[in-house]
Amino acid sequence: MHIHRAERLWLGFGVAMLAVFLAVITTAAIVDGFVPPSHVQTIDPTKVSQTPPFDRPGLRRIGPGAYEAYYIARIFAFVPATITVPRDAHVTFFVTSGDVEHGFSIPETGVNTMVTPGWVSEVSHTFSTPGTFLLICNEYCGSGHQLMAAKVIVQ
Amino acid sequence: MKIQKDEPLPATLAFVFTIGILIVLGWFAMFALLRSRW
Amino acid sequence: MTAARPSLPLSIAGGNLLALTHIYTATLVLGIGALFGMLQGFSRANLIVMPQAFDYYRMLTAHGVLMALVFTTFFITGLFTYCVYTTLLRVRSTTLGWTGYVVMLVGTVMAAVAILDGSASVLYTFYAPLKASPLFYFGATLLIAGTWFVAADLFLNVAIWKRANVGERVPLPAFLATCTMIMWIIATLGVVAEMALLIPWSLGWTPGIDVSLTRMLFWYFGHPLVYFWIMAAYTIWYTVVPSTYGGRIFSDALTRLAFIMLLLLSTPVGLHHQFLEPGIAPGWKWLHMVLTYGVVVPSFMTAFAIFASFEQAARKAGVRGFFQIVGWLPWKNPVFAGPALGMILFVFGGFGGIVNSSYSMDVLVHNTMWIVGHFHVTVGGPVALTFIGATYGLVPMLTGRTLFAPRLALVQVYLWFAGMAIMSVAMHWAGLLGAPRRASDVTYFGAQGAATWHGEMVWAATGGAIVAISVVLFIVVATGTFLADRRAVDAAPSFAFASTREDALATPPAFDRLTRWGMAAIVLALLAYAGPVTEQLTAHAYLAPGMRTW
Repeated sequence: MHIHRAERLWLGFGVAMLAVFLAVITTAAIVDGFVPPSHVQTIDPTKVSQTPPFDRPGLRRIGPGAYEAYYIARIFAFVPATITVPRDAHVTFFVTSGDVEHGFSIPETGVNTMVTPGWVSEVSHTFSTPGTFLLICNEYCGSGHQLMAAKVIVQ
Repeated sequence: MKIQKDEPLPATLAFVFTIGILIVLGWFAMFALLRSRW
Repeated sequence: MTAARPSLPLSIAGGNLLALTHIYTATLVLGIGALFGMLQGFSRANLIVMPQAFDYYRMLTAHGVLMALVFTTFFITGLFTYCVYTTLLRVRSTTLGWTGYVVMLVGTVMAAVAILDGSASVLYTFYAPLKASPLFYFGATLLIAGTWFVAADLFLNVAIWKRANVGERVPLPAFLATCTMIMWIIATLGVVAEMALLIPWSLGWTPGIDVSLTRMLFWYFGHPLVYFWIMAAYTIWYTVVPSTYGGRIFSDALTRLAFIMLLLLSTPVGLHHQFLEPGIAPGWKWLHMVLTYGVVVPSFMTAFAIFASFEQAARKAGVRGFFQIVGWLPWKNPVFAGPALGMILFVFGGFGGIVNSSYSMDVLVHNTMWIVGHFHVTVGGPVALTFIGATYGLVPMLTGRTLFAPRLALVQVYLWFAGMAIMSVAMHWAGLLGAPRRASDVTYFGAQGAATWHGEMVWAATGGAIVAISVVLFIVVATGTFLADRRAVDAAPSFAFASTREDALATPPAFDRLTRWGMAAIVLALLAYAGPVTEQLTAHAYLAPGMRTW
C-alpha cells in the first residue's frame, strides 16, 4: 500500500515527536521522581478516625525541614482545616476519605491527587514560597462541594 | 501494479508541520511549568 | 424527493425517516443541554445562583448526560444508519433499527426523569459511592442497549451485502460506520459490566460496592466514548466534506487504516483518566500513556489526509499556496464551515489531549477547568460543529425540503465557533491557575488563592452565552426547515459522499476483515486491562454503601 512521500515525512516527524515526549517524561519519572500519585495502601473508611496515623490528623515534624501531614477528607471539609509550615519545608501529605470520592489539590503547585474511599493517597511538595495556600477538593462530592477547602500557611 | 507518482503537496506539509511545531513548543512549555510547580 | 428522481424502495424511504428521527432527537437534546450549560457558566461567574428546586449539580448532571451521552449518541446512530442504508442500498426491514431507537429513547427518558427529580445528581460519570436512584442506572443501561440494536441492524446489512458482493470492498461510509460501532460495542462492555454491579447495589440487593473497580470499568468505557464521537466526526470529514468543494477522498486505503488503528487503540488507554488515583500501580499508568500516544497517530494521519484533499482539489482548480487554498474553500456553505471551523478548534483539542496523557503532567491539569476547556474544544467544538454542519446537509436531503434561512445557518456556525473558542481559552487558562471543575462557585469565601479565577469565569460565561444564542439559531433553522415545508426543486444534493481519486491504488482486502480487527481490539483491551483489573480484584478494597450527599 503506497503512502505519499509527504505523508511519510509528516508521520515520521509525528512519531518522533511522541517518542521524544515519552523519553522526556519517562526520564523525569526515573531520575526526578515525577510520577503521578500512585500510593497503594488500603484502609477502612468507617474506621478512619481510629486508624493511625489518621487518628491524629495534622502536621508532624519527622526531621529537619521534613514533615508529614495526615488529612481526612469528609463532606464537606478537610481535617485539619489549617496547617502552618516553615518556608522550604518538605511536606508529605497522606490523605484518605471518610465517605465518598474527593480531590486534594493545592492550586499552582504539583499537589493534586484523587482521594478514593478505601485507599490512602500520598503526595509531597516543598513549599519554597511563603504565603497562604488554598487547599481544595476538586472532585464532585455532593451539594457542598464548592465549600470544601482548607489552608496551608507557609511562613 | 501502477507506480504511484506523488504530486506535490506543499500546503499540506506546511499545515501539518505548523501544527506539529506548535504542539512541540506547547508541550515543552507545559513541561517547564511542571518542573517549576512540582 | 423531487419528481425527477426515481422513487426509492420503501425500505430506503423508511430508513431516511429513521435517520431523521435520530437526528432531530439529537438536535432537540443539544438545545436543552446548551441552555443548561449557559446557566452553569452564569453560576460560576457569580451572576446567578441556581434555586434549590433545580440546583447546580442537578443541572450539571443533566448537561453532561445530555451532551456526552444523549446528543452525541443519537446523532451518531442516525448518521451511521444513513451511511449504511444509503451506500449499501439495503433490502432488510427497518424494524430492528426502529427497535433500537425506541429502546434508546425510553432509556433516555427514564434517566432524564431521575435526573430532573433530583434523585441522580451524580454527574455524567456517576462515581460510586454516590448512589442515584435505580431508575437512573436502568435508563442509562437501556440507552446503551438500544445502540446495540442499531449496531446489530447495521452489521446484518453489511453481512448481507458482503455475501452478495464477494471480493468487493465495503463502500467507505458503511465501512467507517461499522468499524466505529464495533469499537462502541467493545467499549460499552465496560460500562455494562459496571451497571451489573451498580444496579443491584442501587436496588439494595448488595450492601457494598468496590469503588475503585467501578471507576476503572467506567473509564474503560469513558475513553473510547470520545473516540466514538471522533470517529463519527471523522466519517463526515473524510467522506462528505470533500463533496462540498468538488474534491475527492485522498486515500480510501489510508482512511480505512486510520479507522482500524482507532478501533484497536481507543479502548486500551482508559487509565489516562485515572492517573492521579491511589491504588493503581504507576507502571500500568505508564503503559496506558504509551498506548494513548499511539492513538494520536491516526489523528495525525487524518490531519494530513483532510488538508491533502483540500490541496488536490484546489490545485485542480488552479489554486496554489496555503492561504489561497484556505481562502478558496467554501466557507459560505454551512455544511463545509461547520466541520472546517471544528477542525481549527481540534488543533487545540489535540494539543491539550497530548498534554493530558503525559502521565506526570496531569498533576497540572487534572480536575481543573483546563479539562473542562479540553472537552469543550473537542466534543463542543469539532464534534458538535461537524454534527451541526452535517445536520444542515442531511435534513434537506432526507426531507426533500430546502434549508430554512441558510444565511442564519451560516451565522449560527460562526457564532458557535466564536463562543466556543472564547469559552475554551478562558477555561484552559483558569485551569492553569488552578480553578477546579464541577463546582457551582469558585470564590472559596474570598480566599486569596481563588482571586485570579473570577475574571476567567466571566469570560467563560460570555463565551457560553454566545454559544447559547447560537444553539437557539440552530433550533430555529432545524425546526424551520421542517415546518416551512418548502419542497426542494432540482437542488443539488446538500449531503453527498465523495469518491476516491481515480488513480488511487486498490485497498488491501485485509482492511475489510473487520471481524478480525474487532477481535484484535478485544485482545488488546484485555491485555491493557488484565493487570490493572487484577490488581483491583485482589486488593480486597472496602465495599462502600451508597451515599446521597446532595
